[in-house]
Amino acid sequence: MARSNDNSHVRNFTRSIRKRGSTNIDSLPDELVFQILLELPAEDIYDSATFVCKKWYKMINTDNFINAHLQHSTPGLLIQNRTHKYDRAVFAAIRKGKIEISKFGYKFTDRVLASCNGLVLNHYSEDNYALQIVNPATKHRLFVTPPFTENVSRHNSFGIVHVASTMAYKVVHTYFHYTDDYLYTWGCSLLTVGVDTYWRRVHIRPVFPETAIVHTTQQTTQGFMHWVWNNVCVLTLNVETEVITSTPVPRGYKHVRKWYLSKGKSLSLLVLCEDSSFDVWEMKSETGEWTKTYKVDFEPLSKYGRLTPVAWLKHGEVLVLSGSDLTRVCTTYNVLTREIDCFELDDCCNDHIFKIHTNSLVSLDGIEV
Amino acid sequence: MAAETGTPTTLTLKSNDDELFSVAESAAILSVTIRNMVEDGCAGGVIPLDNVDGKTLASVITYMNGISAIPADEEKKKSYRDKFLSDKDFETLADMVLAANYLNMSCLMDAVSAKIAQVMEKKSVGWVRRKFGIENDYTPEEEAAVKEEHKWTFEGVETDDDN
Repeated sequence: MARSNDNSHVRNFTRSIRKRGSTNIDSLPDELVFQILLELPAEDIYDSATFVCKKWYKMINTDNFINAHLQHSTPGLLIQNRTHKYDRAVFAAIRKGKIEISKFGYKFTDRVLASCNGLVLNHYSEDNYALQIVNPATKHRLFVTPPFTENVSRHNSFGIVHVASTMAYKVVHTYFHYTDDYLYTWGCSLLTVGVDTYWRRVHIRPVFPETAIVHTTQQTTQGFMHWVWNNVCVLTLNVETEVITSTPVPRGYKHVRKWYLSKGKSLSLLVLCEDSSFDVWEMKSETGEWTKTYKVDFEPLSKYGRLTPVAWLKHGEVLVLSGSDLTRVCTTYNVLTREIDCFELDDCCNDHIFKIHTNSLVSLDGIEV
Repeated sequence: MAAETGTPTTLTLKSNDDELFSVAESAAILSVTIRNMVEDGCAGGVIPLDNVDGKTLASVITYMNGISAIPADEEKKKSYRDKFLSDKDFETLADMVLAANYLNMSCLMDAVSAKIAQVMEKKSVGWVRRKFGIENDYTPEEEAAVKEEHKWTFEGVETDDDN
């Protein structure tokens, strides 16, 4: 047999008649169909791929596929206007290195409180305290017993957290409430979705200053919730064990701008330094131990005016920053490549909430509260 | 088997429609299937690839040569893959995903799967069935049952079944 010594294709040898048609896609093995479908956005799978044939329907409706799809999907941001234009929520995610904005097929009727694995916790418009969990990709929803709200101030917040060991979702409610002597105290209660019919108080040891209202920032990481308490300490709730612990925040950053943001797996602290750079710290949720991880050069962003970091994308690779005052433009900054991109919202940034969200097929089917 | 003299070793690949292609061993071993043959010493003569036709193999070899010429820089490799796949139609992509699977080239397979999904996005059910050569095996009753399950999805949405 002749053998060519150069790298060019020896195509002119023995061209025989093609044995088959132009494509063999109908012989595609199931595992390749599985892999292709994993790449589709959740809404396309749910609205279209499930209707193609029974085999695809069965493949998609398995825990195996739903979990693989969730793991494969890149978390983005659910951005919602908080000034009553709730249905204008958009999803922002990095695809092919660029920020992409898409609308939700689902129309939110009230403020989004929290999101986890594609499940969104929000109020349900007819009653201010009624809660529902909805997957905006599949539009499936589940009503959740509202917490007891007597004596509770408006300063309350919610979270939804997945507990990997039990595969359960827990909804967490924190609030300030009046005690008998008219003092405000901080409280926390939670409910396991599909298991509990009432909210359970989480015991809080007196590990933090319990007086007067102080500033808190709430963040969620995998299996944990965090509240930064007046820039003094972080309260961390291990959602599985339902124990709250307190750890101090890194010292030496008293009079500088700083932000606490979830990186998904860990809580990060960004501190703006004098030389236009950020010190980035990370906290281990299990131990509360802080480590200074790296410095981020902020110089390329200096010409964009005063920016506020609002969230991390791509597991801490891309920082999303909102502009100040009346600007509608959000900036994204890749801390590795220093690439800067931006996108525009339909109202000023300050009117929006930013929640980490993944479009998924995760459902709470079969769970009834 | 690596050449002792330092001159690049060339392999000859044969498609299932009997076309012959020569390709540098260093590029061809991106395919785990071919690498195993080389390591087992079975790559001396012509390597028959029974599941890949000439048109697709030519394309895969272009990819092998292109990607192996790029040094270890994942970003550059990624942009090469994107560019390589950008002008391919659905039928070519379908042939390539089958070839990549048979040749065990995971990077190419991931990239082609993602590209196929990208082409499928926002397409109607009818389009997907046609392109994948799938018969609709739902009875009208079964289809109605799935729609009932998805009733939130279709609220206020005009159905566009074929396009």
